[in-house]
Amino acid sequence: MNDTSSTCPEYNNRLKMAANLVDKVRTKYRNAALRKRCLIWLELTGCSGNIISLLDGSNPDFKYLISHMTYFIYNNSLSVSEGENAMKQLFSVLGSDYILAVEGAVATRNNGLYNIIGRMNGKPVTALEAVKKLGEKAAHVIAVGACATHGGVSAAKPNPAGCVSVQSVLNRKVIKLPGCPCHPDWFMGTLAHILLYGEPALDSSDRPLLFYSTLIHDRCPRRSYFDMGIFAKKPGDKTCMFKLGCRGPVTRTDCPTRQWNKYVNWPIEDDTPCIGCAQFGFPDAMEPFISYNITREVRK
Amino acid sequence: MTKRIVINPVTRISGFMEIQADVENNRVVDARTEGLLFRGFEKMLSGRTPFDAVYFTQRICGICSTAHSIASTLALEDAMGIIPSEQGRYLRDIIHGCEFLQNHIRHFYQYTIPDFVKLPENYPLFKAEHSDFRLPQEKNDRLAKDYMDSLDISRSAHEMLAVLGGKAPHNHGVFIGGITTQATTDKIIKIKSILRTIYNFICERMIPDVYTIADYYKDYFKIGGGYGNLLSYGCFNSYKTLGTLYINPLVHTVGITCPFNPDNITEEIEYSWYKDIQDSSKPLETDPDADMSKALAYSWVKAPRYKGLPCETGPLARQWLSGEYRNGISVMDRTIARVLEAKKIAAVMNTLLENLIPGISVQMEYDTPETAAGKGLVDTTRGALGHWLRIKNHVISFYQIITPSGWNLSTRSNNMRGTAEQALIDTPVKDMENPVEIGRTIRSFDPCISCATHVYTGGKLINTLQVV
Amino acid sequence: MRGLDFTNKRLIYILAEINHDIDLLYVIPCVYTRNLILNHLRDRISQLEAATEAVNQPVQLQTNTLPSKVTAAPAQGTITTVQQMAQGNERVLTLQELSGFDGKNGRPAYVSVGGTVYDVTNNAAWAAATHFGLAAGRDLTGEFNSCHAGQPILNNLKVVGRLV
Repeated sequence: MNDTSSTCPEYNNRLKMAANLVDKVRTKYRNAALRKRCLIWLELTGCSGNIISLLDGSNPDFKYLISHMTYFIYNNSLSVSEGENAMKQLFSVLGSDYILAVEGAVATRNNGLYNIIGRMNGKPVTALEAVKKLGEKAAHVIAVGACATHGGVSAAKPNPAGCVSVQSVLNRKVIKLPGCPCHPDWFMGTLAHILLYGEPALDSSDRPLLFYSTLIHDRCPRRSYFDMGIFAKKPGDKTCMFKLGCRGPVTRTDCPTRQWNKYVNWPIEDDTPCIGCAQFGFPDAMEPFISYNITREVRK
Repeated sequence: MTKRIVINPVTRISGFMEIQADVENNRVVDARTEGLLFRGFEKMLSGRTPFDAVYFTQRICGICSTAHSIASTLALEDAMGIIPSEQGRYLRDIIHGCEFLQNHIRHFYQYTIPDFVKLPENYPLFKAEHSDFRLPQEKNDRLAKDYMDSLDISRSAHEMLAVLGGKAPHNHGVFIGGITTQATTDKIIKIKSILRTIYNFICERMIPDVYTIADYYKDYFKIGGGYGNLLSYGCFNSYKTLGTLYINPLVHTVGITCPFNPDNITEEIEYSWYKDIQDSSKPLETDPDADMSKALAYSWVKAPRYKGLPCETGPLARQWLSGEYRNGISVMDRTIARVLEAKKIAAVMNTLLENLIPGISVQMEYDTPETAAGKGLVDTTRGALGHWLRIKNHVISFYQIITPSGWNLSTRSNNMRGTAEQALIDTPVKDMENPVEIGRTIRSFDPCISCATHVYTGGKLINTLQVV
Repeated sequence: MRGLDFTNKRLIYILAEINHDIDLLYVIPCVYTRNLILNHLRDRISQLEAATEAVNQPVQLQTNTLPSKVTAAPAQGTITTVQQMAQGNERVLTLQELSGFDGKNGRPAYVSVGGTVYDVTNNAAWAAATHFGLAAGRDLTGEFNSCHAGQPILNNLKVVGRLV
């Protein structure tokens, strides 16, 4: 690119823009870019498995999260405060800058009375009210786990509590991190991106491309067995588990490469099929999880 | 003058709970605890493939998901007439042990300790309003450090679990016949080495920590007793060559200990929102219809009873029934029992590991039965867990779950309060603005509301919902 | 010989594009835009390669191993003209018969969309002969159209017959 005296105005603009960006990054690095921000983690209608999964994270781990990444203000499982004091702490973030992480679906039956998360000034606070109040004003809302993302198991047929996703009760963008549970790295990575560089690149379903772009099938170590038509007959076998019901071909996430719990293992390596827990539609659209009677033809 | 204290949310438990306590002359005279979460798992399971229940029911709870996979697997094995091999049992029970360790370490440090130890105030999460912290600075700081260091230890318990189970929470390895994959030497030694680190932590730091707290909070040995009925479905028991490594199914009621008989379990619905077909029923017999207009009822939770009596289940029940710890029944005893049990489980796991034969595959191809019924009863992290299921036309036609928190935090019936309700009675409350005694008592039961909960005493109609 | 006709048209189109790109390269001063056009050109050349190969060999559909011959009018809906059906061996199934092909216990898994029956027994998205809660052995035209309208999915499926 030696020709800088070009007649093309667009090209000249591009050169200037590139230089501007480089300057910005240089400045940010000089100014120690990782700035702590307030975080609240709301547990709603679910199993509270995502906060447990978060505690299982490493590098960064939970300690790093609460010391260097965030002012972790509230969580039902971990907050020392109880009762109204806890509720006051939770709602104290309104009016300031905060990030809201939500796990669990939103129960809507009976106007949300199927899930009450606390009492404020003597009145019960439903999950529905809390997520709406805190969600509308948050700088970012991250739906963590299958239930928050699309209803998940809480909304499984016949959905007795009328559970819906967090997005369906909020009128603003919600970053979605499906998974049952959500891998701690997916949450930590998304949060880190927000803190360092702003909102991450999202796909058309609002999932960070960083974690949810490639199908498990396309990175599966057993793919060559699939291609050759060599199928497992039962869990425990070492070949492709397509005929047992593996949902790897329809699930977009990085389990094959990242693996779980300090990267020691993952479902397919454990000789069980993927049950599609990180794809929209889990669990109803991913069942049956295990089938023994599916026809096994060898591909030509 | 009776004053009503309301605590909602009760934080540092699994799920959502409200406690209402009526206090007179600084003592609790009446109490209600309400579970505030409803999803309806029993209804969801109808119509699904039986094998899927093993994965589906895990989503009842995030901190004890393994427990449900085990109970579900046992119920399926019972229904299908499958007897797992000993190696299969060892492998599955090792995974179960990992979950015990994860839960007990997290419950003690993350859920219990902040009630007694002042954690660094520069973390907003640790802001406490009460001032009943009695430990001298040096000891307080030691326990606060252990809170932080324990995070790595409890995390490694899940790491161990994933080695055989694929991932945690919501593992994949537990299945009919034992587990899906095979043990290999590298997996075995990996687990053994992580277990050694956890065991050392329990012995060198966790046990001294709990006794340190006990030293400065001796009054809690006299709080939270309850009825003294103890129940265990047994766990790590009845191996063919190893015998019982921990505890057999046993019950202790009205001062007598005897073997547990599942036929004596009933669920009362006197104060529960179900149509009165009959007042009590056995778990596999009826599935009564909901009826919120029923007079006097105040909860979705039924009241599990053994021979008509409310029972306590959990680490204290197990430690007492197995003879390992018989100091007493109270808030502090419950907490100590949980910590001692962690050490016991680690030792049991070590024995199982030493008896593993690498490379054994325990899986087979199975057919879903056309019609079957089975039950899976096992003692797990919080106590006695039972899954009952019926299969018709190759799919689940009925599924019933009674969780440990259902036993511990049940509704009243026949004029008897539930276990934890009874435990709250007579609890002293020093400071009405900061009634720390109440939360401490309830937390000693390790409640899991996502599983099932409700506690109530008093005849008032309250709109309470709960369950699984 | 629809296939050959199609490929010829394609070749002509690609060559036209290549010529257009070369014309542009003569006049554009902006280095950046020139690079873009060169990329475009390279792309067109590989398409040319592919099309030439196709001309040298008769068109063979990977999904259908039976001798190719175009029969009656193409089915309505989303099926393209590249679909070919077997003459004489064309399978015809009723809904009732289709329901027998549910992928279990040794039976293949078939689904029908827009009147055509496809074999999804070994299709990666049909593990356990189910796809996002839908079971094989059924007509799924409505579901397909509400989810995949416009997507070139049916092209890659193995055709086994028609639904009546």
